[in-house]
Amino acid sequence: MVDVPRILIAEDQASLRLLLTATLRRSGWRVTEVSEGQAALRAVAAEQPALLLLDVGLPLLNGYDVCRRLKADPSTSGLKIVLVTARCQPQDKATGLAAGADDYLVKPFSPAQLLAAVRAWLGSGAAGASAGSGGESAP
Amino acid sequence: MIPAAVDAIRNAHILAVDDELANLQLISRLLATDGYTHVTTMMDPREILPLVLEREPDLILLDLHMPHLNGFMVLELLQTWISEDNHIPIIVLTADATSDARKRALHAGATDFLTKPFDTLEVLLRVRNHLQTRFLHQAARSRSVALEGQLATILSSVEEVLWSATPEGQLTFVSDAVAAITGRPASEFLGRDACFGDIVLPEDWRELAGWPERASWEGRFDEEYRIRRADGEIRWIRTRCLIVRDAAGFLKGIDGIAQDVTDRRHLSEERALRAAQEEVDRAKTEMVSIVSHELRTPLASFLGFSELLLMEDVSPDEQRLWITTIHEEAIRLSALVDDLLDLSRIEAGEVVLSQQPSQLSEIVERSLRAFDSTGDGARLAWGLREDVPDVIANPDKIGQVVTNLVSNALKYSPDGGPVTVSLMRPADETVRLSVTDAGLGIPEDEISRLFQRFHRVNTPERGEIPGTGLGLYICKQLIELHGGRIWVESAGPGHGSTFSFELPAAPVLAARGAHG
Repeated sequence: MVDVPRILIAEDQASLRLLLTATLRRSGWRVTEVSEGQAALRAVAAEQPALLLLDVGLPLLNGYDVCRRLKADPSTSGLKIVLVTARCQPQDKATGLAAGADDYLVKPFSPAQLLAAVRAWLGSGAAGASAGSGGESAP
Repeated sequence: MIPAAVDAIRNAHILAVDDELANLQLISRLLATDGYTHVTTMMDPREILPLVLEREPDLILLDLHMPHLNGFMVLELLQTWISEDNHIPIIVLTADATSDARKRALHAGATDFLTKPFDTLEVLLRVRNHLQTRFLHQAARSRSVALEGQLATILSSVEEVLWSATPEGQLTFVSDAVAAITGRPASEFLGRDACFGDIVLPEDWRELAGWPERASWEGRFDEEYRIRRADGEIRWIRTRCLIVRDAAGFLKGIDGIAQDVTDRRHLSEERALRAAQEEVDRAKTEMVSIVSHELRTPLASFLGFSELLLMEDVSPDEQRLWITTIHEEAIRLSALVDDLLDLSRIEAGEVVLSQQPSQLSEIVERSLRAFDSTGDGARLAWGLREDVPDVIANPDKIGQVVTNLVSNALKYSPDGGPVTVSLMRPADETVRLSVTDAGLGIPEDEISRLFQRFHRVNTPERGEIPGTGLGLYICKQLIELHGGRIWVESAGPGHGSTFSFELPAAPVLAARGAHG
């Protein structure tokens, strides 16, 4: 069996962290969770995840800054980053993309939306245990 | 002597007054020898005044002992009628050589005194010297008149009021521009306060009174204040002044400039108003963005977990965890809605509090007990707990404030540090509650903004602290509705903070109740 990619979740709201981990684990993804920005940087270095779900309003170092640092570092610039935020103004999205984020997920989102976004970047790498819809994956 | 000046002197108008014709003829001939062509002789001293006033002579040669009007009386008369700055030299020519006559004549206004028989050369030299003095005097006078005229022209074209005052601030000079600004003539101000103290609005004068001492102490002065014009209109005046000292450093006086800055003040007030409006707009936009952010988090939980719950093969443990989370988020959302409702009621001025004599310590106990169920109860402790009188309060609202302060203290002490609650009586009529934490502390520049609506603390360590920024604002409004005040003290980031509020104690009679 192929090694299932790891997804790092950086979210300070406990309820949303639980929602993200529960949804992804049910679909077979391996998940690491952190609740603030500095810990996110450390976890990226230690675990080398394939995807980072990154909340914007993180304490210590906000999501934009985490994103900028990771994208500026050649050893981590290849990491796919999906910003997760309740900020939905156009300029918020612009800030996120300018910081180097690969995608943008606006709260509230459904588990299906989340899984679709993850598959878009990682393919159906955890398809085995998936409870979601089957098969099709983005290029 | 330069030729032009010689000509002026030769053309001088000389008046000789003597009751003896022979003397007058002698003088005329003598003056003619030196080139004087314009000599008037007069035998009756009573005619002197009309002539002097009509055809101003440049020099008068005057005999002392004459009938009808002696020389002393003529001198006194001339002194009265000729203005002080129009210098007409008068040389007394007399046979009276007594020192008494000389002194009297000089005292009465004679410029010079020659006794007969005189040395003709001396007479001519003295005449020439005195004429020279007169013409120099005249030249100086016309130059100063011209300068005064120029100065007046300059002053009248300057909108600013220029003034000079005594060290005590009393005007010795004020330019005419003062009339345009105050609607009162400059003359009204002379001898009065140089900041126009007589017409300064009383509330502004309270700040201004004693300005000359302050100005001389500080060496400068620049103030803006309001005056009431003669027509009742109120104008803003800016006065700047300069302390004038003599070479030895002693205070000689104060020079100043006053200008009407009403238009500028109005402009900046308008700008401030516009800025305030923009601030309100910005706050509104921010409110929409914050509220939507705060609403979206619980909504994301509802939507997400309910969808997960609908899936197949969810374990009972998962079910329980997810439903608990939905429940907690619902409580959070409901608290947010309460905050928003409080906010809108407070802003609309619709909060009516039913108040009653209450024991603050009971209210606090009740609020603290609610934290037991969250597991934070162990971190809470009573500090100083003085015996305090009752307060007139709405227990629910004050309880809400206490809960808010305590939960903030718990939230901002990230390492699970202790939170202390103290009850004090700083004054007879005041009861104070303080909530102290050993947590993040508050940067100095945040302290003043902490109680503002939608303000959220921004710390270098943690970035912007999440939340609506409504809690402390609502606390402040509620405490102020009770006639109290609320504030925060912090030794800075990393040193914890203490939030306190004070409420007025209930009057003793109301607190103890009547005995029957």
